[in-house]
Amino acid sequence: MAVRFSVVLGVLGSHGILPSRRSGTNVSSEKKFRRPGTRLKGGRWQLSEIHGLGLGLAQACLPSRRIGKKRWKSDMESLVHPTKPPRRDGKAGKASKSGSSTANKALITRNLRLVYDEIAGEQIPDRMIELLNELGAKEGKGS
Amino acid sequence: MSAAVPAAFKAELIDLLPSLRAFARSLAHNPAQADDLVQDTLVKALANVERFEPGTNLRAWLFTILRNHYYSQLRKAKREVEDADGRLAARLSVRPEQDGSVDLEDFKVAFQQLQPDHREVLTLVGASGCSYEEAAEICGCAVGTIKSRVNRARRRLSELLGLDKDDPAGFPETVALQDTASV
Repeated sequence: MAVRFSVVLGVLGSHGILPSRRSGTNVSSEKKFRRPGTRLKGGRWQLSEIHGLGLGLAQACLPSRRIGKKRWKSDMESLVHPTKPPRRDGKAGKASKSGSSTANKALITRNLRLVYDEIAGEQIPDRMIELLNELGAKEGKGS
Repeated sequence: MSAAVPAAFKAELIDLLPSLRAFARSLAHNPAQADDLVQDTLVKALANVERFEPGTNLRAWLFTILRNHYYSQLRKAKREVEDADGRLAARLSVRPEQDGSVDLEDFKVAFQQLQPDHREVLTLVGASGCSYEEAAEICGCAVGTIKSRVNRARRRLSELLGLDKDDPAGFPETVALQDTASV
């Protein structure tokens, strides 16, 4: 795996994607700054195998000129956290559920009306009509 | 001394009996109890006919009387959901049909499992055609309360019917229905 990683780095480096190690650089000074996330003086990055392929490629995709303190965090966060895509439209999540909720609402409404109409269509019990007539007559006599 | 019952009032009362029975059935657990509620409502309405202002919403007035009577009975009895034959328990896991419809009997069972305040708002707003304002007047609460209660009731009913678990491809029949936005 280490071999393959180095091959990939080599390929990327040969195409000018990865910033190459400056020739004639003092090895001791490079070792001093060779830590994950640490930037060498002069803006040149020294990729470490510890970073991993994902991070290395992430860096590789970014133009070396743009790498700076302000943009580093935002750029990396968008790449390191793929589960949090940039919010373009806050209603996107709601829109995906609107189809099924609208159908559910319609289904519930339809069944509510069916039940309601079923009961409303029943014949009124005679005792209720008689009760109305009785009470109405009593109230009329009482006035 | 009670006032005489106007003929127009009595005629309108008779016309509203089907709606009154349907609303009572949504609150009560069985038809007999619902009819008793309606009868008690008629007695109270005729005994207090002088309190009703002619020209105002008689249906809302009657619904309010029925509703208040139901809740007063409920407080006295502190009755729980009756399920003597286990019909409700047997149908707890209600699933929508293949074509997206729901068996009406299953719907009734699920509906009866809702809380009384959820049942009443769904019936008022979703079935009987009351507006949110009218339903708020009947229930004695704010319009916003009715709207949120309707949403919660609908959500709960969807859970009981298992509509949230599945996401059928489509309800060609139901999507075509015009949603009155009441529910």
